[in-house]
Amino acid sequence: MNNDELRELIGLMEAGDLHVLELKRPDFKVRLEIANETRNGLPWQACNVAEAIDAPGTATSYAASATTVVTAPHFGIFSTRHPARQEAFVEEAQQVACGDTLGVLRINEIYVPVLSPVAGSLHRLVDDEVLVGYATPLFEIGAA
Amino acid sequence: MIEILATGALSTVQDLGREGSLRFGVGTSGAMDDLALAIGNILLGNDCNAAAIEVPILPFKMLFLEDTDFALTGADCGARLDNREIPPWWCLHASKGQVLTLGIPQSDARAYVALAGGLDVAEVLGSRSTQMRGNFGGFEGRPLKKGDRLQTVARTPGATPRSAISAHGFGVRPPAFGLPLHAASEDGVTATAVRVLPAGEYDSYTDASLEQFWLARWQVTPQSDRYGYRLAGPVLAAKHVIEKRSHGIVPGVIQVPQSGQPIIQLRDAQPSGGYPKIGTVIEADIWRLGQTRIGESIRFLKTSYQEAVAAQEEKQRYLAQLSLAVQMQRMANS
Repeated sequence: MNNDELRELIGLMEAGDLHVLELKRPDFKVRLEIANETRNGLPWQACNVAEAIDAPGTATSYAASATTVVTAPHFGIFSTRHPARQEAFVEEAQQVACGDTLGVLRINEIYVPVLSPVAGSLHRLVDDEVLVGYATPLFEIGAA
Repeated sequence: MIEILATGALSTVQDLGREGSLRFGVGTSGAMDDLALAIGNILLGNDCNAAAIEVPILPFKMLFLEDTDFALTGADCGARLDNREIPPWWCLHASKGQVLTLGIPQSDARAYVALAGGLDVAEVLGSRSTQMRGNFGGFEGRPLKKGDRLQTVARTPGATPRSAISAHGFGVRPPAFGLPLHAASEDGVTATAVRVLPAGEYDSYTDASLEQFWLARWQVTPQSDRYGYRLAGPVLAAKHVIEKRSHGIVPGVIQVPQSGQPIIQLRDAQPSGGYPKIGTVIEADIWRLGQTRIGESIRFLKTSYQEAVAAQEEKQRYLAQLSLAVQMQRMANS
């Protein structure tokens, strides 16, 4: 892959409003990320790491300094409510804990969870039933 | 292996049922919501007919004695793995020592807990289902109780690994969305709709009774369980006294005893009976009854043999498509 091809990919990302693009081939791997977006790949594991490092009860201090953006781990139709339930997983401005389910992404009949990578106060960025792409920012989590 | 820490009465081991033994007087048993059981197994890459735990009365609590993937389908009962909330119709990975707790469901009647590989209890007459009438099959032929330990089927080479799902898991859309069936109601009161074929003695009932049969909302009375649902509604009257010798019946048959209040025979029904039969709930819709609670209502929708066969095919197609989507998700996850 040469520079021209990379430039073309970035152009396509901008045109398509894509924030992150990963391309894997047998002989190389490319990851392109448009600035200002934090991808939280494996929040559940991240929580476990945080718990392992910090003493119990101090895990929240991890996020105390900044706002964390929670991005879509998959493309799909976003919702903060499971269809079998009346209540949403979370409400705006709610305090969430690390590992909490914040919402789901529906891909046909499959649901992929959106989990909180940190503890803090929740601000949603996307309405329910909106089709989002991979890495679309879904929530901001502010200091607890 | 898992250990039951707490259970209400009547949690049982069930698969899709013991087919082919009615002629020996052995009822089918099997999951009251066969679709939920099948979907739990699909989520885990199990055979659709693998045995799981049917939990009708909650709360329920169990301990994982080894690392394994598991799935939770059927009623949404605010489940938790240790302190972590699990959405309904979900599969994920549990580590040894973790505790799964099911709470009281807000809707629906039965939850299913499936484990990777399926529960390893002895097959009797080709099924692992608990036969409550004969006290055989399932786990020692009885409902589960505190302290019971259940094994999963040993892995065969090349089988789906026991831990193929990432820790946060994934879910599927409840089948009520993929296979919707609604009965029109003028006053907005919801009722479980099921399609029904007229049965042997259908023509023996008065026109007024038949009209009521299709129009009424039939309430599920407290005398309802895996054996059958006794319903309350208008009294159904025959044109003349019907006397029948005992004859073979199948789950789904709607009988009308002297009281004129129908009974739907279900999974643990005895294989024969003498009451006149006004109709039969089609096989494809019996799962909807399995999730109808005592006090809720049922509507009967008249259908034809062709439509009943088509409904069963639609259900199989739905499961096949779901299975394909789940396989892709499991591949992406691993």
